Amino acid sequence: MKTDFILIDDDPIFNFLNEKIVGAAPCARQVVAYDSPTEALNQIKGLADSGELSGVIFLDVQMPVMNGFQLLAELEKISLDKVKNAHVYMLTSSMDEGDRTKAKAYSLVKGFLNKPLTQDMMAEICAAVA
Amino acid sequence: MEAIFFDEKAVEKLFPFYFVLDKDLNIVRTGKSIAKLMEFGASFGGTFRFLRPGLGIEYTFDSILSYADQIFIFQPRDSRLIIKFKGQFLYFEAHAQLIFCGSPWITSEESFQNLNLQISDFAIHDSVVDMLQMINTQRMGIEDRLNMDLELARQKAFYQNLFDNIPVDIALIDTDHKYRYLNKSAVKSDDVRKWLIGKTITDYYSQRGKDQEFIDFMTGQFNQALLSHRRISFETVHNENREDEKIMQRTILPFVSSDGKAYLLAYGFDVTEIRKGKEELIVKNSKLKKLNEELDNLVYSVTHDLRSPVLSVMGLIDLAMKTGKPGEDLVVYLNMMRRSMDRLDGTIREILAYSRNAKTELDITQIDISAMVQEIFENVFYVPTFKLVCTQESHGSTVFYSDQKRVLSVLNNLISNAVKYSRKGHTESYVKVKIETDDNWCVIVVEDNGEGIPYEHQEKVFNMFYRASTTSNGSGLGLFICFEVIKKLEGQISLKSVPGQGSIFRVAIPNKINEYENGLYIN
Repeated sequence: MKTDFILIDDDPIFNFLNEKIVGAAPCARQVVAYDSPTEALNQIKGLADSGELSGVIFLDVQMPVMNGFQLLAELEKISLDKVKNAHVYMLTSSMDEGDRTKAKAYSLVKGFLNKPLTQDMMAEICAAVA
Repeated sequence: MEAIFFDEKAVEKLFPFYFVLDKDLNIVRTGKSIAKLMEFGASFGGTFRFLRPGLGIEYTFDSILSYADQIFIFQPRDSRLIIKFKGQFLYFEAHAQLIFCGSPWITSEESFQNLNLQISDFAIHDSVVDMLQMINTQRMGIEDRLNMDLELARQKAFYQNLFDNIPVDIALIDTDHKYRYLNKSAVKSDDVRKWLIGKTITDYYSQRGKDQEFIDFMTGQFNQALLSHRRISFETVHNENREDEKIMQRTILPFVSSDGKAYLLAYGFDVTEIRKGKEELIVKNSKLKKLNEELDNLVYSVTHDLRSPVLSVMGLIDLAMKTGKPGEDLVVYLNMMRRSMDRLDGTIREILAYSRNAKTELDITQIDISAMVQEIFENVFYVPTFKLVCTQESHGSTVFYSDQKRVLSVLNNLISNAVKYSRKGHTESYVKVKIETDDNWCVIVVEDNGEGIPYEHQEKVFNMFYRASTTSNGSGLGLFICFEVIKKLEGQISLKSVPGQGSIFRVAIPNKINEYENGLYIN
């Protein structure tokens, strides 16, 4: 079963890299990347409203204006029914244990991944969401 | 009845001052003790003069004999001998002799001592012996008392000295608020201390020039201790905020003396050093705490900001290796790697700039601000549509002295931010720099019409690693370093910004011209 991917990272180089790796994965259907977390949030809200939100969201932690956790808090405000098909994976260069613990507190978060994203990681995610 | 015979020895023993006169009043024999006192002439009349009996007595055997029932007092004719004899004459019929039975007339210890006689020179029954014993007893009593007084005085001096040398102000106050005792630590001047005894605490504090508020406060404390029968402790600050500021820890406690009288014992000691040490510790502690937080923040952010470009390069290398063929893709990847490395380098440089600012001393020189602004603008990446408007205003002195490197880093940051965060697609982007210099300050206002800063981030933009824009991949250190540098320059920075319209940064830096001219900064 194929699934959609939303990539959120303020660094365009990571978005470029991750688009390539995700695009090459067998389970990937549509891949959209956002440099701006606020823009990404608006898009996700729109999809949730129309009941079209499903698939995997890769979310960076440290971003300007709105960091990964602030974005998660916004997602939690959407009714559970509309986000139930979304699987959020934190994808970060942070090696901070505090960030990992914090991420676990959000029910939407399915995993905490350290950059860089690899094909092996993608294979596991495909197996999990398929 | 048996007859009694007085021999010479017996007479000598009973009357050591005896002498014997013959019919012609020649002195024919003398006792040992009287012989010690004086030399005798041949006749009594040539040696002595009668004092008593006064009238009618003649210097003849018969005349003396006729007065044998009376007390005689006589003195030597030699005026150098200050002595009187008192006694009676005894008639010895068998030898037709008169014997003087008596002794020196002594009425005081002094006259006894002047005679150079000893107690043993007198007969045991002599009243002089009794008198001397009495005087001796009296003298011992006086000596004892004297010794006791000396001991008391010694002890008093000991405790006085002890109390005066304790580095604690001590005062004893009676229930009328009058001083009964003060030690030297409390009042140094001996005269003032003496004057204070019997004066009230109000008298004292008025004399010391204390204000009514202080006097009322102290009186209140004394009253409270008196009424509550409890010890009270408090602090007083003297010469507040001055170089010689003094903090006293004071205690007043009710005190009942051994004779049952109620007093207040007040003592105080200087805790200035302790307090200051404590304050210093608090300041140091908060500095350490801030440093520690900064360090935590630094480690957290550094893992991201330093690692992020490294990870992206690692990803790009992996990708390039998989592609396997040299070509356009490879150039794209290499360009990206270059960008990542630039970013990494920028972050490292900024961390270094921050550390340098904290460590190095100010280096004050004359600065041409407008030339500096022009140079910065030429070095900032070239954007053809960008305009630089630089205006200058000066008051008083146009010469500005400060730390060139630090001012440069501040202006560099602010001007390159204005260029970096200009609005996309806007054709008339500008940065205006207005400079006003007077003898005390140089005020630099950097104004742009760029994207501005969202209101909710405006307070935080000077924080370490705080990024308020997604437009550029800044490190979040630029404005933090500006803030730190300006703090080091003893200046101020403020921000006004309207999102979507632009930002105005106002920097005020002290003009160090006076210090420079006074030679404070000559290296």
